Amino acid sequence: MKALLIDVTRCVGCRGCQVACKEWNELPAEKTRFFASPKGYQNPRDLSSKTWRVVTYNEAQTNGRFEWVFGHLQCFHCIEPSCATACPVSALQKTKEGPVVYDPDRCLGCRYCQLACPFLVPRFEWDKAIPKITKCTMCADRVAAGEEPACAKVCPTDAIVFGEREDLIAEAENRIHRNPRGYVHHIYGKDEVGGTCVLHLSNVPFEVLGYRTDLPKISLREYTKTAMQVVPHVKIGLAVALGAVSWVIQRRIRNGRDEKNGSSSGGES
Amino acid sequence: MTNHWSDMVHADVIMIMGSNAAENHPIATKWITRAKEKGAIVVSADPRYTRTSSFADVYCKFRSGTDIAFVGGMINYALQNDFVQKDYVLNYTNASFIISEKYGFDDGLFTGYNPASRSYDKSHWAYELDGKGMPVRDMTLQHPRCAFQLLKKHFQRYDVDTVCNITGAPRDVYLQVCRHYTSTWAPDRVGTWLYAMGATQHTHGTQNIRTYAILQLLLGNVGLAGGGVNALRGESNVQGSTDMALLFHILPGYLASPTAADQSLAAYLASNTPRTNDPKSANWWGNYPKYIVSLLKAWYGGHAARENDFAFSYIPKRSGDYSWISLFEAMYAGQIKGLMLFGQNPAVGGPNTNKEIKALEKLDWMVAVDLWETETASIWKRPGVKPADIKTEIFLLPSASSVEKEGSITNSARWAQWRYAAVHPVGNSRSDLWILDALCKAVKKEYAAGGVFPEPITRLAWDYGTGEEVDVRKEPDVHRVAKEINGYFTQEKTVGGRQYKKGEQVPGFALLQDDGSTCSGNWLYCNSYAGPEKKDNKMARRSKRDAMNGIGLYPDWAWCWPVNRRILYNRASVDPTGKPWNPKRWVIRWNAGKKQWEGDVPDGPWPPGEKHPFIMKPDGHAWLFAGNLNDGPLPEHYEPLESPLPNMMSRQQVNPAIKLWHKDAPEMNAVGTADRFPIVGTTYRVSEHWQAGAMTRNLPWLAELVPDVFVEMGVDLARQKGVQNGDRVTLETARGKMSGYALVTRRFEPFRHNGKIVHEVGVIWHFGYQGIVKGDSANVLTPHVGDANTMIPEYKAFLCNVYKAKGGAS
Amino acid sequence: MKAKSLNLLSGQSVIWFLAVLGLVLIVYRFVMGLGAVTNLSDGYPWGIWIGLDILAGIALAAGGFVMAGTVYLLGGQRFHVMARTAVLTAFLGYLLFIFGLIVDLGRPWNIWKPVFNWQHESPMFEVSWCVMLYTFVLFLEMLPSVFERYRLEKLHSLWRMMVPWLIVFILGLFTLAMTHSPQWALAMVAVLLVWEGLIRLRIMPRHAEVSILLIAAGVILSTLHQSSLGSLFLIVPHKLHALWHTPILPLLFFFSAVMVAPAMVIFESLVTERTLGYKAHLDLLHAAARVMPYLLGVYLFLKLADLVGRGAVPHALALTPQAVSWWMEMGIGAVIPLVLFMTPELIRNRAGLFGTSVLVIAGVVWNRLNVAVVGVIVRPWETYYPYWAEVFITVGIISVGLLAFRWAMRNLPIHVEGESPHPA
Ligand SMILES: Nc1nc2c(c(=O)[nH]1)N[C@H]1C(S)=C(S)[C@@H](COP(=O)(O)OP(=O)(O)OC[C@H]3O[C@@H](n4cnc5c(=O)[nH]c(N)nc54)[C@H](O)[C@@H]3O)O[C@H]1N2
Ligand SMILES: Nc1nc2c(c(=O)[nH]1)N[C@H]1C(S)=C(S)[C@@H](COP(=O)(O)OP(=O)(O)OC[C@H]3O[C@@H](n4cnc5c(=O)[nH]c(N)nc54)[C@H](O)[C@@H]3O)O[C@H]1N2
Ligand code: SF4
Ligand code: SF4
Ligand code: SF4
Ligand code: SF4
Ligand code: SF4
Ligand SMILES: [Mo]
Repeated sequence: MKALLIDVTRCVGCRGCQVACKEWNELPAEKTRFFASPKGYQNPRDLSSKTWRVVTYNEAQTNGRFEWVFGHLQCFHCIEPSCATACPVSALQKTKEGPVVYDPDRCLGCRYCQLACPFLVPRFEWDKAIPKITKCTMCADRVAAGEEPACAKVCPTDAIVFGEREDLIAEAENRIHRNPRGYVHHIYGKDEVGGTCVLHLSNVPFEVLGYRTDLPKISLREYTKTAMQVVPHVKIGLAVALGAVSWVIQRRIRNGRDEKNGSSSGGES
Repeated sequence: MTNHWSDMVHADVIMIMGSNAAENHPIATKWITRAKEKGAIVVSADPRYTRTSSFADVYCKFRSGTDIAFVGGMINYALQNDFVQKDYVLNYTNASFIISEKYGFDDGLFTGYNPASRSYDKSHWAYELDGKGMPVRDMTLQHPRCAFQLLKKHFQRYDVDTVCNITGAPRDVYLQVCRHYTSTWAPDRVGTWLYAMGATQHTHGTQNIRTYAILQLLLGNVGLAGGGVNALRGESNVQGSTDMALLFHILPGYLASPTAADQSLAAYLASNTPRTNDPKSANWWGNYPKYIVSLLKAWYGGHAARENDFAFSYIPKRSGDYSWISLFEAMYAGQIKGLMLFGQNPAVGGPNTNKEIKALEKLDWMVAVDLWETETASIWKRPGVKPADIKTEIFLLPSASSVEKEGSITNSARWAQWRYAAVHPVGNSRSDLWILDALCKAVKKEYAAGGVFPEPITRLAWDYGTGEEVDVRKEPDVHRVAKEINGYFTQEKTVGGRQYKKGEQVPGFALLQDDGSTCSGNWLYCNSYAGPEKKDNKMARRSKRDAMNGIGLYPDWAWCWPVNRRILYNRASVDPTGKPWNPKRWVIRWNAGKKQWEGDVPDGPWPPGEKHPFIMKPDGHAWLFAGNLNDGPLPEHYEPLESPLPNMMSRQQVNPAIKLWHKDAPEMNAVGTADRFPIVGTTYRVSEHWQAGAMTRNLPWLAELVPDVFVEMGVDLARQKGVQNGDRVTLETARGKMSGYALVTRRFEPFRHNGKIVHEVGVIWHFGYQGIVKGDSANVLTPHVGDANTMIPEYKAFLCNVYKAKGGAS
Repeated sequence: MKAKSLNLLSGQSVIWFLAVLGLVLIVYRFVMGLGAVTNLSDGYPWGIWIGLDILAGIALAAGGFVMAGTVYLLGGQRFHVMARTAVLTAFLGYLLFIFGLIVDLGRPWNIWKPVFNWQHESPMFEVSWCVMLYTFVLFLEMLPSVFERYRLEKLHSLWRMMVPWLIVFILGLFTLAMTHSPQWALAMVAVLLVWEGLIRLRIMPRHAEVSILLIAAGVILSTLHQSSLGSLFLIVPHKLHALWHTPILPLLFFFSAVMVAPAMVIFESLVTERTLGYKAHLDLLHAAARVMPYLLGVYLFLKLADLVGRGAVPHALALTPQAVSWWMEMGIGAVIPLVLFMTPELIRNRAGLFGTSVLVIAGVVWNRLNVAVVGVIVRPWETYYPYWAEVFITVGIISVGLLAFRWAMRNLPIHVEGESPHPA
């Protein structure tokens, strides 16, 4: 399974990746003003249907050192994506190659995927009569053609690298091992929501980068799984139970009436 | 650059001072981060914390305009602690050279100063010569007048406390920087120094670079892999264009442009060809006559012959300074009638643009050749003016962009890389070459009808395959141009036992002749196109084969001047016996068996010890003490033209050798003082925009990222001024006012000088009144004043004030 | 209560106006995109349309299955007179809900796609199937009224013949879609066939007027999707506030839907009485009111036990907008009505009955809005308030519903005047 490893210690915040993403995916520019973040430079403020990748600028004082670190917003390509679990028609699907891809021909536009995604990734085209759900595709078209994603391709410092997920995890562990003081000892995305195909390394706590650190280690799919699995049980159980109950009740009523006046009216003709 | 981009990976310490590499040279960071991963220490010294600082191991702040004090202190630290690579210094630099008795230094002034002309008599700083005309040396370095002792004495004054008081650098961090950097004195440790406009755009810019060079020489870091003094150059082809004489004082190949005094070729050569009596000095510039004659042959072909001094009289002789500021001052004074601009946008990028735009208005005509309708091309409709009031007639010629035409681009690393047209030029745009070719043919035709002195034009050798007439469909043959730049034999000639036919390409500049038998448009590029076929165009090579030393020289990737030497001064990377100082990352080494050098192309073929390594210097040594500069042989700290503080080193407030335009031409050249303008201002770039902005503010994807001018300021200053992040603020200097959004950040901190707090603000200069996103140009703020040697404007340090704009918040 | 304010249905012109305005806005929405008429955003992809029209709307339509189930399965024959109204309300409710959904869906032309793309892990998939099938069931349940009205005897008997098989088919298919397992589907089919068989063999009770299997299907489907609407929110433990996010959310959704059914019946009867002049069966309403305390009590117990069990009590005590909204929901929708319903004097008069039912209804609506909107916390800077057009589209849809209800009440044999259930 393919994945991206983003090492923010290598990222110099040049935003080549952000522009390359727009360029490859032919996404239009947004109208912006000044800077969207008080820490400067970030623009646009957030992901949108026109912006699938955003570099964030974060100022922090960690370990007595002032740091300016650059975070990255894009789809995580979860291994068990809640967006795909949520989607009633599999318009969003996890491919075995890694990317979570979207098929507009199926999509209803119900936007449940948006609600379900823990990373607030899928974006809807609110301004279109024929809208789509949009998000980073891990450049599935490039990947299919044997290329690496555009963002990884342009990154001057190899802060974003593309490869097999296991290899990248090994590489990430290796980097931490080689430079234990240079990294937070955690690969973000290794276990979050059951693991993702976009992995992050950082030298500052992930909260500083604005990443959610309160997410469970299990896939969010687990949260609906039970509810969905009991459906057939409930269905058959209910059918049997309803039958039984109505039978018992009707019998009681009939018996009651029989006792009273001997007539057999009940609900029957 | 002495070295090249991918070579940075070999450095043990990387000093980034005077450059914001991450933002302006992002590809450099590829190699820097790789070096870091291998354990290199990265130091970022900058008035503000930048994206470069974000990945540095140490960030040290200092006030704009105080680089000499900062690095002077590092030099002192190295000398005091003996962190000096002695063998290197002794053998390869002029440390041991005895300086004339006339040399002296007192209270900020070197001897030989003439206050009336604000210039020095440099003869006071000459070497002492012996009877044979050879410089006198003291190989013990003890002589009080040897360059080493003078250097030591000079920089002794730059002790840590003084330096920190001047620069505002925090003492502990500064010492950390000194420690890290001077650790590269060890022969097997290398440090590289990366700089750009942060260092050069000062009234003492050249001396800033001198401090880097001196320190690098003391530490033995020049000529080695992972070392060097590396100017991260600017415009993608600015190296190529300076090689080709972009600047007024040079001809192609860094030959001096003749002055009025050079009435004959002989006189010109006499004043420009350096001489030496030292047999061990290669004195490469001794070949001067070959280069200038070959150049004249390229220009005038058959019309350049020994009989007419090779048409030397045809080329213009200058009678003064034609640098940027001077030109605009002259224009303002009404002395210039017309202006042709090829890819330049002075209305945004020039210093003191209020004045420069006024100067443009005084022209009769202006031709702007550009991809976009720039601010300069549209001064007649800029905000606040009535087009009818502007008398300048302006022509806009649409030019093809780099991807629409074939040719070479020379990068900072001196690699000339051939490129191909990817797409046809849009609309009616034409390549610059086509425009120039057509222009030249048209002008020639005009002069053919007569003129005061038509020959320099009518006799130009001009044939790039488009015929006599201007034809819109015929693109000049860029290969002819490239071949001419390389040069060819103009007649049959035997050199070194081999016979060359007329018209044959000259294989290398060692074969250029001063008798008119060769031509070369630029001797430095001789060897770039060494044969007649396109396959002989070495600039087009793309092989990934590495040289035997395996340090990533990739000699068959493109072509690099001179003669494909990838690391300059590489003879200094070996000890006098030819053994590399650093065997792990060797650049060249002497193979005693084969009796030849291996590795990179060496600075000359001679065996080790036969010649001094710095072959471009007449004495063969690198100059710790440099007697040829306008403002002194050793760097000395002066404050910028506008500064909030008195100079703590001497009573010389500013560089004594600069031209003071506010005195000579006071109109619109006001200079501010700290009472009204107590804040230091500086200007810089961001990754997201390019220069004057035409190329990026017209691109939606980039406009989206940085849509507005912003003024970076520290939290304390903002609080004092009642400014919040995102407020509109006005920035004002004695020359102009502009507004932008306040970016209040902890990345900009105040400085403490002798207890006094000084604030600094910074503003990007990419904006103007054209394009998708618009804003004020920061250059309404900057002064007309330049460096004493290069005249580069002082864009990086001035005085200003900042306040919340009326109608404040965003 | 002033007569005027209750005079909703007779304020004809106002309703027509609102309906037309809503429809115009809906046309505008389809031309300009959702962004033009809503304040929805990527952070708040769901707003009042989901919260009110859909979550609350479906809960309030629960009267249909509860009444049908009570009357035909649980022996509550005396409520028979109200069953048809309840079924009509439910049917109209679901039609409106589907209409609202079409307005809300970004790509409504694909609304049928779940029929063929079976993504059974998605609660949304389950909801869409249930709603689809249940609306069909309601339609089937409604048909007899039409047959009666237009005396379509033949069709009526065809209906009688077909319905059980249809039910077996759709529930079987649905089980297959949900499990992708033929075994499960066959088991479902088997159970239903046995039931129908036993009915035919007169071992199980039957009803002349309706198909018991149809009623059962209604109950089963409703149970499933009422609870699945809650399941929709299970996947967002990171977004839904801890006051509402609980594994038993489906159960709570189901139970509150059941709980609101009697309240809805009371409310509807009193409103139709007032506006359309149909006499309410007060005795039955009182009977309904008497179950309310039990339902409310159990609901309150479930809510509180869940809160305590999950250790989420501190969240209720924190001073957050969510906590305030939670207290309002619980207070207005559960605690106060519980007290009121236990006050016999109060529920004996129409106004008291009406008011108390309205509280319960409001409570459930509030709960659904809390889950869908108020309790969803995305990022500090993001908030959601409905845009005026959003509100008027909702109002417009409800107005269309009221007009349709009035038409149906007037033109179909829905309302049975105050008499005992007629023996068939
Ligand atoms: N993206 C992008 N890249 C570019 C360009 C561009 O416009 N955009 N321009 C190109 C060109 S032509 C050039 S010349 C180069 C310029 O490249 P740089 O020199 O890196 O460019 P600047 O941003 O002007 O200045 C560099 C740094 O100097 C700092 N500085 C300010 N005052 C001083 C001082 O007194 N001393 C020192 N040491 N530093 C100081 C500033 O804070 C700034 O961070 O970039 C080239 N690359
Ligand atoms: N305040 C302040 N001012 C500065 C600086 C600073 O640091 N601070 N830096 C200075 C520096 S280092 C520089 S280099 C100057 C740069 O100043 P300019 O050279 O005036 O700025 P550019 O925007 O690079 O202008 C280049 C123009 O060339 C056009 N162009 C691009 N390609 C081609 C081509 O192939 N042919 C032709 N004919 N035109 C083309 C572009 O559209 C653009 O308008 O600005 C200087 N100004
Ligand atoms: S990050 Fe969100 S959109 Fe991307 S795969 Fe995971 S759940 Fe889906
Ligand atoms: S909006 Fe489309 S992609 Fe998202 S859950 Fe609904 S149908 Fe699936
Ligand atoms: S993988 Fe492709 S689509 Fe995703 S952020 Fe990178 S460039 Fe954009
Ligand atoms: S291209 Fe690489 S270095 Fe630049 S912002 Fe993106 S990840 Fe960071
Ligand atoms: S902008 Fe162009 S020239 Fe500059 S680093 Fe990036 S790719 Fe290289
Ligand atoms: Mo530059």
